[in-house]
Amino acid sequence: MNKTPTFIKLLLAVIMVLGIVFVQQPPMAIAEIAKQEVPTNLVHIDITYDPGTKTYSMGGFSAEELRQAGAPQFQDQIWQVLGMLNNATLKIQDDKIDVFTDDQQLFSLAWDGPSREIVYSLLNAYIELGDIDMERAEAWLDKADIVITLRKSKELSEPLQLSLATLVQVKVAKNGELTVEGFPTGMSLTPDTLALLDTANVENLKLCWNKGVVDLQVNGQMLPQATLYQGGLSVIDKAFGLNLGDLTPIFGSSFGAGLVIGDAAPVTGECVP
Amino acid sequence: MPRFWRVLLISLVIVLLLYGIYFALGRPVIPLPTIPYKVYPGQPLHAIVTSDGSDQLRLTLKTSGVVELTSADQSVVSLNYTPETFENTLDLGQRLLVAQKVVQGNEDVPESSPFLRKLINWAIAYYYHIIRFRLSVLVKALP
Repeated sequence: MNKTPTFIKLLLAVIMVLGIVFVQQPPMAIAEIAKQEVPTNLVHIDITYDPGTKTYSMGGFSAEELRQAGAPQFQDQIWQVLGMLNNATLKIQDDKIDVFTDDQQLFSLAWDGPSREIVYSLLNAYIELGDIDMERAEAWLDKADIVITLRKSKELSEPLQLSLATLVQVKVAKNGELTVEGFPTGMSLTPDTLALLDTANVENLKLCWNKGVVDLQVNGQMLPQATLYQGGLSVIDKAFGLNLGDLTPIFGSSFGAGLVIGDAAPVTGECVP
Repeated sequence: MPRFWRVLLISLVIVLLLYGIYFALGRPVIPLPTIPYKVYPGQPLHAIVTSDGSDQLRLTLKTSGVVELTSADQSVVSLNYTPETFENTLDLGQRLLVAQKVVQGNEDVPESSPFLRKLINWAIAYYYHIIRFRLSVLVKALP
C-alpha cells in the first residue's frame, strides 16, 4: 500500500520535471524573416600613390605586397598624369556614373539599363574575348555600388570593401579549361583532377566567403561551415612561411563563387548571410 | 510487483529525471578529461605548434557540432557541423576516395558498409541531439 504511492509520486515528479522542461523550451522560431533588400554588389577601392617613388597601395595592401602578388607597375606617362592630380574618384551608384577630380565634378553619365546596353554593344565590338552575356552583366551592374578613389598620398590605402551578392560564375569545360563569367582564364584543371571530379560525380560547387566564414555546397549539399580567424591564421602563416601579409581587406569582404563542371546547370542563388 | 521490475522501473525513472534536469539546463556539453599529446622537435607538427610561441595547440570536439583548433587563447579555425552536413561530408569523402582509387587504376576499390555508415550517422546524431560531450586533445611541443 505504501510502496505504490511512492512510485506514483516518483512518476508524478518525472512528469512534472519533463513538463517544466518542455514548457521552458522556447517556441519554434516563427518570427518573420526581415524582408531583405535587393542584393547589392558593393566594391569600394581606395588607391594611394606616390609619384616620387612611383609606388602605389591599393585596398589596404602595401606596394610591397602588391608587387609580391604580381600587380602591374605603371609606365612613366601614367605617373606624369597622376602627378598632376591630387585625387580622383569614380562612383557608380544607382543609375549614374560620377567622376570627380581634385574634389570637383568632372562629368556625370547616365547608367541606366538602356545606357548600359550601349556600353555592352561597344565592348562587344571592340574586345576580343567574346560577347558579353547581358544577363550576367546586368546581374553584376544593376544595383551596383562601386567607388574607386585615387589619392596622392604616401599613406597606406584604406582596406578594400567588397560585398558581392552576385555569385562569380566559374565553368570548367569538359577539356578542363576554366572560364570566369564566360571569359577564358587561360588556366585549366589537370586531366587527373577532372577525372577525379567526374568519377566522384561532383557536378557543381557553391563557395561563399563572408568575413572569414566559409560555406561550401557540393551538388547542392551543404558541408560543415568553417570559420577562419584572422589572428589565428597568423599561426599557420608563421608555421608554413606563407607570407600571407595583412589579410584585413580579405577578412572584411564577402563574396562567393559558383563552379560548374561540364554541362551541369549553373549554380543559382546568392551568398547573402 | 517483483523486485527486479521495481528496481528497473525506479532506475528508469531516475535516468529520466536526471535527463530531464540535463535537458532543462539546455543540454550543456559535458567536459571529458583532456588528452595530452607531446610532439618532439623534428616532428612535422612541432613547427606548427611552436610557431606562435605558446608551444601548444588544442583540438576540441564538442559533439554539439563544433570542432575547434586553438593556439593559446586564440582560435585558429573552427568547423560547425550538423548531423546532415556531417553525413554530406562523409558521403563526399567516400565518393572522392573511391574516385581516386578508380583514377589511379587501382582495382582494389574499398566497399562501403551501409550498416557502418548508418551506425556512424546514428552515433553523430545521438551525441549531437541527446547527450553532448567535449573532448580535447592538447598538443604540447617539447623543447
